Amino acid sequence: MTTMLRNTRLTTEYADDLALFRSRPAQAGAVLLLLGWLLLPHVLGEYWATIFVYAGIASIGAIGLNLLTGFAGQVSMGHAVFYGIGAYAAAVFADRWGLPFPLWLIAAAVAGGLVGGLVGPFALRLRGNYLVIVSLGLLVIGQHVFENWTSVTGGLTGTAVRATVAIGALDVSALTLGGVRLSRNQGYLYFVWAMVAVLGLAAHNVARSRPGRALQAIRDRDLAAEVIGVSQVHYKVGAFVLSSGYAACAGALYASYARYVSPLDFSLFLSIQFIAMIVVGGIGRIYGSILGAVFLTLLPRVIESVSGALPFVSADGSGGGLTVQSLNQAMFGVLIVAFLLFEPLGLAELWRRGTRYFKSWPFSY
Amino acid sequence: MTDFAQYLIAGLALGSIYSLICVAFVVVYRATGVVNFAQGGLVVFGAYATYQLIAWQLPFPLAVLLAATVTAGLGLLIERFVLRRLVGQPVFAAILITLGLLFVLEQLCTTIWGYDLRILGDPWGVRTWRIADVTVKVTDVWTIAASMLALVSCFLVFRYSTIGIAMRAAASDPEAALAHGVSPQMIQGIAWAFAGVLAVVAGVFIGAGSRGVDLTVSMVALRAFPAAILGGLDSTEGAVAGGLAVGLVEVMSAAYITPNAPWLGANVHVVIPYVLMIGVMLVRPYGLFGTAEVRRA
Amino acid sequence: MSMCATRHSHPRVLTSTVGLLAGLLLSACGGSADETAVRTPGVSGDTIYIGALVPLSDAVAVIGRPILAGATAYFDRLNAEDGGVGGKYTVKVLAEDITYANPSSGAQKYQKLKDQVAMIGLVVGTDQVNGILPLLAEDSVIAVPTTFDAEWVRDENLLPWGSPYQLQAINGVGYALTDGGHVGQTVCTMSLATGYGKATEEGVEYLATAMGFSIPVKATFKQDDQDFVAPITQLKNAGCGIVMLASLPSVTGKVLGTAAQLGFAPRWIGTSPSWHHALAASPIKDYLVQHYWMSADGPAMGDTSIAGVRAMRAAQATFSPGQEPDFYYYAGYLVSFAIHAMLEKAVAAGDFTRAGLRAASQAIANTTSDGLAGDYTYGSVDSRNPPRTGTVFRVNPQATIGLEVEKSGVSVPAAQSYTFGKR
Repeated sequence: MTTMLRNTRLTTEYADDLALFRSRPAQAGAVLLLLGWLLLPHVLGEYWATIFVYAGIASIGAIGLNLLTGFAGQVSMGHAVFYGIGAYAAAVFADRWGLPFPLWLIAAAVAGGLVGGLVGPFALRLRGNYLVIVSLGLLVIGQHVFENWTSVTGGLTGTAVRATVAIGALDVSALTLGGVRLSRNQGYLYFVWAMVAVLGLAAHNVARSRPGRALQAIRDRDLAAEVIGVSQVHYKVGAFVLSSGYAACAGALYASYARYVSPLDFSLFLSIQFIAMIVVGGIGRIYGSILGAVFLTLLPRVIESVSGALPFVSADGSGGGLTVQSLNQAMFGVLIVAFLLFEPLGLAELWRRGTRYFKSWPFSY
Repeated sequence: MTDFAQYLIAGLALGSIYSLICVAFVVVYRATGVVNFAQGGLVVFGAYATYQLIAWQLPFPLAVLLAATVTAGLGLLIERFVLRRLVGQPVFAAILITLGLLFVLEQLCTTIWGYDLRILGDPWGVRTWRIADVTVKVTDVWTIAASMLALVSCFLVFRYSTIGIAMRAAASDPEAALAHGVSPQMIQGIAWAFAGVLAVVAGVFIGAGSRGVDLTVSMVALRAFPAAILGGLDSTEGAVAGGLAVGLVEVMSAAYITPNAPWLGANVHVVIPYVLMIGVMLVRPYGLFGTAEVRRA
Repeated sequence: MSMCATRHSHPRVLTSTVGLLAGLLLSACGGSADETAVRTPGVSGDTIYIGALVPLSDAVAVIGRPILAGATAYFDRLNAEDGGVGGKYTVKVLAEDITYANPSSGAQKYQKLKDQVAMIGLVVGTDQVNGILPLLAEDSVIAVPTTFDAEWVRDENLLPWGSPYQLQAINGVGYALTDGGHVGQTVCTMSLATGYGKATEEGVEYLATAMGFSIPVKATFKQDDQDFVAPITQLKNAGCGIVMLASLPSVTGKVLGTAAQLGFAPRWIGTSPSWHHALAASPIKDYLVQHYWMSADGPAMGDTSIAGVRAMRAAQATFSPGQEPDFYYYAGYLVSFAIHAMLEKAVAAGDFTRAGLRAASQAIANTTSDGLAGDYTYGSVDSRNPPRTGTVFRVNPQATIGLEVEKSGVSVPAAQSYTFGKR
């Protein structure tokens, strides 16, 4: 009896509830994450560093979508468009206008947010399946603009982007640490994951304060929320702005890291991946978006590295049977299906259950 | 004028293909409330299956019939092992699951049939009739006829058959239907099997003649979405009307807008159906023929 | 008891977290590249590894797979019969599967390959090449783009080969307008809305300026378009007598089928990626025989009087028996001549460092391919000169991959005068 109570620190004040890292394990976890962040760039090779950079960028985009889907209950297939807007905005602001960092990044995020604010009101009248397919229309229109607004986007063949992350002499692509020069990938790994932390905490703060609660109220029963004085228009459009801003920020980081973007980068598949990330990670959990993004970015790479041991799979499909990529595509599909069927709350829920098990040990609940 | 008539037939034929896909959307949506993004996967599977059976020297009608049976079986399997477990999940869950199925189905096809272009081997080929100055493709006539047949049979089944009445009952009040001995599982299984049959018909027309079958066949389903939304997701008449409308709009805009308004960008005919869809949605959020959802606080 | 549990619980969470993190780190360490071969990556003992970034399992795998098979067969034959490069070094192709429609997949796989290979031998897709260009420059790695874009010619990190799409279009249409018997006819284009389609269009535009004609219709289409009545009617109404087509196998049948049905019968001239041998057995084969030409570089795949073709077919029969010798296979095989020539230079100089390989890429004088293609003049980046002659093929369902030579050695004046800029 008493064990249960003492296991978790009692919250005696409201401030305890509001604290970012509420329990000691959570605090320890934060320290460990910090350590991991410091160490990882030095133990990962160039290839895995690249993968983790992409995972970090995807995390930011997924956090944005989770704000919209997990909190406001709006499913969008148009997320890739805002990601694309951020990428092209980075090309324009940094490369052509010569804005320094962090101005181009902020400007890109604002540009995405503004477009999100324009689109948001359209979604107000629509619900459920209809909204999903209308957002598919947004994607088609966005791609058309990317392909045809040649003076800005470079058209079908895309555009090279020089958007460097440097403040004064501190250039992320050429950091030195204790006299050792870090590679570009290592530098971006530090930078991108620092951005994930900042933007993740910011999103977490939005989610647990008034706007977050208002959005959840709308998500759960919009009419009821309106009756108690939560303005649907205000908060739903706000969620669109914020979510698009996050996506655009991720897109700008992508453009900065990849240094070349083309309309193919911002396809329906990217939108689907974002949705898959938050579903696998955990709808309505900010850290779930990060878990999902890392999981889905790493999964194909892990499958590749173990596929040598699988008899029916080959790297190039030369021996008949599946290629690794086919297996990846199929696994991507199977995983989405499996998570939705067996663990609809995603990795975040698995994590929570795992930690709860240890917390309440030796009792099962 | 000849050109216009030519475009009209082309638009109707393209629209009929969209209609076939949309009717499948509607049948599944009415029975299960799921927007089926995996329909494209069923279409490409159906097209490949037909190709395979023709390649095995089966006569064409028999090949289509057999392929329809196999694909219907695939639809049943999907319903039985995946969708049935999805009861009570939110909207995006169903959509995402069908997207996941799409990826699995596509890889299933490439694993069986590889990546090369396959010529279907249908009896129509590229034969045409000439009426006045207008060329009428034999395939187009069959496509239009098939989609009309699908519409009429859907209408009759929904309206008069026991299964159709059961489907409507299950859709309007599942609990009451259950109390009257209507098994929702059976209804949903039938709907998916029917979607499989329609997929084969659509797949055959998409791959007919010199068009050939490969993985890109599944992309057509995405182009059909605005049609489904225009008509309303729960109306078969709407699906056919929406399909025909989108087919016509696509062909007409390719004919009259693309060449005359280069400032709109190349291939604007792909975008216009979606713009139209968004416009209609703003006025009628449940499509032209769809039923508005009654909401309570 | 209760105190105990309290004390235990936190360390447990800690240990589990630490364990997880340590596991992550360890696995990551295991995954990092072998650092022993830093000086000459990709060369270990007597083996040279070259990378390949090719789509093997998406809708473009129909192109990626034969290309890879062609290159692999070339080097398998070289290893087996000539003892490898310089009679000593065995060449192995390390292929990574990329997704054509996702340019960052190429960049990711490049990072995976770069420390294991001496160079990137194949990259399929214009966007994919663009995606890895900054990385190539940073690491001083040479790559061989497997697309024919004019932009590649002057890039010092690339080793281009073959005749760019622009030249293929110029020679094809130019031939039709002169010796091909379509003098004075209206020229139009119909191209896929991609960089490749644009490159083809550019070629025709250049020819139009050079020869003083205008192009009344430049139709474009998408890969998932199903109906082509509108663009075909436009071409028909404009009286186009010659239409340059830049398409992909899955669309060509739809375009030409519609044309056949509407009774529109111009001289179609397609690029090599537009063709698939299945079309020669399709319901429009008679129409194709009469009205379709393909403009490309190289001989007919069935012409075994040419030494290069004999060698290629022999290599194909031995090392990739399941593969049709289509134009993609040919491309993969042909690109290997350039790679081989470069590696020979590196072996001769005994220098496999990044700088050495770059020097080797510019030390090649020119490559010959036993009649498989026109000679490519290499040397320094500024003196590179792609083969400016082309071959026009006609359809013959009985021929290998359905094509036979209509006219070889085509080189119209505009193809000679076309200049390649530096980006």
